[in-house]
Amino acid sequence: MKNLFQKTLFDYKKGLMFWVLGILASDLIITSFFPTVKKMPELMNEYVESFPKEISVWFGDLSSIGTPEGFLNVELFSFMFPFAFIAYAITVGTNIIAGEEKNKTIDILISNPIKRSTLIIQKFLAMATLITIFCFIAWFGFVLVTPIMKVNLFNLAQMCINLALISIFFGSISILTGSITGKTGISTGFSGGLAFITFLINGLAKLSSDFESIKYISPFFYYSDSNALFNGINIMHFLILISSIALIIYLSIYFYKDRDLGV
Amino acid sequence: MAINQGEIFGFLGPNGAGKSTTIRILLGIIKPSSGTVKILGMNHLKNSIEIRKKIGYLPGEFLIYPNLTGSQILTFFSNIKNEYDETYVNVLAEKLQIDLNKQFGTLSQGNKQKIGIIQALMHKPELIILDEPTNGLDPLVRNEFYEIISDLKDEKRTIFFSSHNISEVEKLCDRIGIIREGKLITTEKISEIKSKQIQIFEIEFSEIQPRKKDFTLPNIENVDVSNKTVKFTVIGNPTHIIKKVSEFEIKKLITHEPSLEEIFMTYYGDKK
Repeated sequence: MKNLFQKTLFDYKKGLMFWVLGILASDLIITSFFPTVKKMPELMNEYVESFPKEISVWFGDLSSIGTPEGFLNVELFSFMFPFAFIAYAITVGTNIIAGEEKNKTIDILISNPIKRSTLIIQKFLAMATLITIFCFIAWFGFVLVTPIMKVNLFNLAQMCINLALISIFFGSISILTGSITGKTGISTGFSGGLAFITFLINGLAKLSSDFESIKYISPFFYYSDSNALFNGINIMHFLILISSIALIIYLSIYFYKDRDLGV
Repeated sequence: MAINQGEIFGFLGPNGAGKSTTIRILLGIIKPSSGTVKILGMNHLKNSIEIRKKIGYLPGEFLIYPNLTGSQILTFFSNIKNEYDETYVNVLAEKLQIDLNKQFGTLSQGNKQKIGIIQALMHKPELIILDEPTNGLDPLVRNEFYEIISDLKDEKRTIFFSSHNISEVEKLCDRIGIIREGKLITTEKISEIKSKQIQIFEIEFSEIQPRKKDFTLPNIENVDVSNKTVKFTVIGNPTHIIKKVSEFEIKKLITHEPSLEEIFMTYYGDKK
């Protein structure tokens, strides 16, 4: 362990194995249902029509569930994967910054010659690396299950990049709140709450033209609007998410570098 | 307040006086509301990284990552410090008889503190800051720690030693500063404090039962009456006390030099 980046990855080594297995299992289990769904289009159409149309705004276009991309969008990428990965990113983001203060390890760490900006950057990079590994594993799982369900792996890779960005975005929010407050409860609560509210906003904006303009404040708009599984990444949305993350980390450093720690 | 190079400076004060807050300011963990600090000739905020390379810090309760082994903790911090005297680490580990291969979270409080001691000293820092370092240590480990501090004293390293345990400060330090309610009351050499004319008297009378008010005299403090015995502290010349008590028949008279703790209580006990 040469630095905080390596040390943070080391801390999550054990949990990483379980997550990797969980993601691969999700890929496999969800995919195993696809042949059944595909074989019964009429039954599925009936089933889909029984849902209120509004539900599509949050859980993906149900009418495309008979295609591999539409199936994955509804089953994994609209809700399950984003919220699982965001929850993980928030947990890591909270523990690595506010957690050091809660566990009172920050005094020893800061008494050593390490810049506060370096601390934030290395820990952020570790969180981003963990999320990137998960997203790669999610993609790789579908490479393994290609015999069951043929999906456009290039578009899927772009969807996974979007998934990584939205997760890292909220992980960074927890780093920012941890940097400002040093409180784990606030860090988790605020970041989780923000994820939930912005998810709702993105759906509500699609339901009513009166609310349409508010979609731009939701990171989920930039995550889902291009429908990357069908169309690939929207470069502008990609850059907005990247820039937002960079801004959040810059603000984290700004607030953290002069704050009294562990008080 | 200034601390000289090569001295062991005891930073004394009751719990909550501001000792740890002062240390956290020195380490740059919190910012001072006013005033400036210079460490090793450098401004502690402007040159914080340079200063922290030359500092070793040990708190009363060394809390660090429970999932790492002692060896991993020391390797991690040696990489951050960018300096590491492996031979010295092995000497300390052997002296403290600590197994570095055990996970930190499974260690006893004393063994955790031993890892903390090595962490603070592994890079042979110029300045060592100790914040109540013997809290929670059993007497054996405490003595091992005192031996290490004595070795550092011989090497002329500068040590800032915060404690509320006056006897250990008396044993180790050259000079002390006393802090109370966030304010520095005084700084003095241990030898000067001990040279103050303070004596403790314990007198047992044969017949009379002494009353506390009989001993409300100049230069007398801490009067404690119990049955036919009175115990008090005299600051300065005790002639007038001797004259007064000699009017009565005395069964036993004991007088002794006070410990630093007794001096502390007498001389600084009520001072603000």
